[in-house]
Amino acid sequence: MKFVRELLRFTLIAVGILFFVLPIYASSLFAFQENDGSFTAKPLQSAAQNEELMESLFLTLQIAFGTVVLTLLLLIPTIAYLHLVIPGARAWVEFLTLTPLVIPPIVQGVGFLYSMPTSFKATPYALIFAYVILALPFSYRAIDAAFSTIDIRTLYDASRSLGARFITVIMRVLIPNIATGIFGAIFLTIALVLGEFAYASLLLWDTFPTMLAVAGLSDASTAVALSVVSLIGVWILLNALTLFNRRDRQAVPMGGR
Amino acid sequence: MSKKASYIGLAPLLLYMLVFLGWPLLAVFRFSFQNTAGDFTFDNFSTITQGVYRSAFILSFQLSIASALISLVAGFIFAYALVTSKYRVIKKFVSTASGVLANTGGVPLAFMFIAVLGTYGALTTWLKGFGIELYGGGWTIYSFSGLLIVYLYFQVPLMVLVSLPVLENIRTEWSEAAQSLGASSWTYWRKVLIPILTPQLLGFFLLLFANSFAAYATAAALTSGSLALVPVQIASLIGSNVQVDGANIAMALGLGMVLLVGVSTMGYAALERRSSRWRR
Repeated sequence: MKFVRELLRFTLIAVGILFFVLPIYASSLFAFQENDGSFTAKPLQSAAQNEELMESLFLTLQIAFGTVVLTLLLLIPTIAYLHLVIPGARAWVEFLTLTPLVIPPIVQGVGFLYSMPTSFKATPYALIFAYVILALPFSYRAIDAAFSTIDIRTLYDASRSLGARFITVIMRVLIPNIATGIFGAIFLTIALVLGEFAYASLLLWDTFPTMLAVAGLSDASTAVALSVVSLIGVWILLNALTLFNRRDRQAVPMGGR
Repeated sequence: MSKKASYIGLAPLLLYMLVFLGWPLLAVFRFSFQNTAGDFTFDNFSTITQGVYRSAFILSFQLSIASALISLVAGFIFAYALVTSKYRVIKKFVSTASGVLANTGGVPLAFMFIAVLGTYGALTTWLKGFGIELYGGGWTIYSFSGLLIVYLYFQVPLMVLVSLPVLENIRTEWSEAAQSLGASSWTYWRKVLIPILTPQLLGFFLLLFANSFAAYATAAALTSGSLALVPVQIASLIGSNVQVDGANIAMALGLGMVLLVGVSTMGYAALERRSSRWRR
């Protein structure tokens, strides 16, 4: 009976993993295998030579950077303030930051398109302001959870009594202590920007996802190659991050809690 | 500092949300009750309950129900097998992979599936070798069931992602307590686990439904608009100027989506709060 149960469990896990791996394996073959069975990196080379595609990738990385910076500037002081001064307001502020989940990105995008001044919409960097909102439910929870695990009151009072200014407390005491939460927020934000399609296509900007969609129509193997590489790349990054996370938690023991 | 004055510290975040979320939403709301000339009207709402727009809602609804149901069951079984197994590493890799697929999916997923199940896809060609013609009976990856398969690749990961922490919280003490009282494993499931998990699973179903209903990128990249889901209709109304009051109709459709997705997400949140009581 025990053996049967173990076998069943093993089979279920194997089927589940196959379900995940099969399409990635098959599309890798599609993109990187020549007709005679030899492997080629040609789709990636042609992607690298595609100037429009590379420009869109560069733009998307810039937007991702801007989104991360703006998110952290907005959230770290606000959440620190919430925990220190008005912890009673945490519940409803968190609820409020979840509202972007209720509104489909396509609807947000249409609203953005019809409400923002034309001069503001004239640059693709306006997307940064929208993406901060899209990422908010995830970035807020990541940083808020990190603040919940440290004794912020004690850290704050101790630093202030030693003469640190508020900004010094944030930069040199709080931020190092919530590094894992910040990395989580950064990662989730970047992953979201790298995949965001609704806003960019409505506002007609050539970001990486919208260019990828266009490239797919003309050059399938390049599009498939880039899809596989981007998914696996993000996955490896995420695994590296969780490894880093665990080490970090051991290196910075917060006693007394 | 008085209680009221202390809320001033929240001003940056609240103002930001007001400008970049509240203001656009207000625009959607306002325009959905107007025609192109800017006069007040309910016409957009009678338009979206008829014809192509009605079909779009039905299609989106069917796709979302089907993908939510399948991924609820499949994701739960997979997550349960993972949690009860000894393979920690596999569990970690699966949960990170789920995070990637559930969040970044979209356009890359669509192209991967064209490579797998498209007319010249790897699986299509491979099955042909065994005499199975996927495209023999008029089926394509660009059809409803094709899109459903692709949707499962971000829905099942989402289900795995949300149910892993829940299943990890099932204490071994519960089954031991049940066993010591003479319960069979079937009784344990029926009398302990299922009552505990039911509200949670109901919540997950609503979450999966909302997630599928709101999704746009996959459908847009895969079918380039040939399967008229609600988000696809909105985008095509905004993108072309053919339809009279097109943008206003798009806003009305958007409001309909917010209503459906909003109600399911609220339901999920309420059930989640109820269930989190036994999760400590």
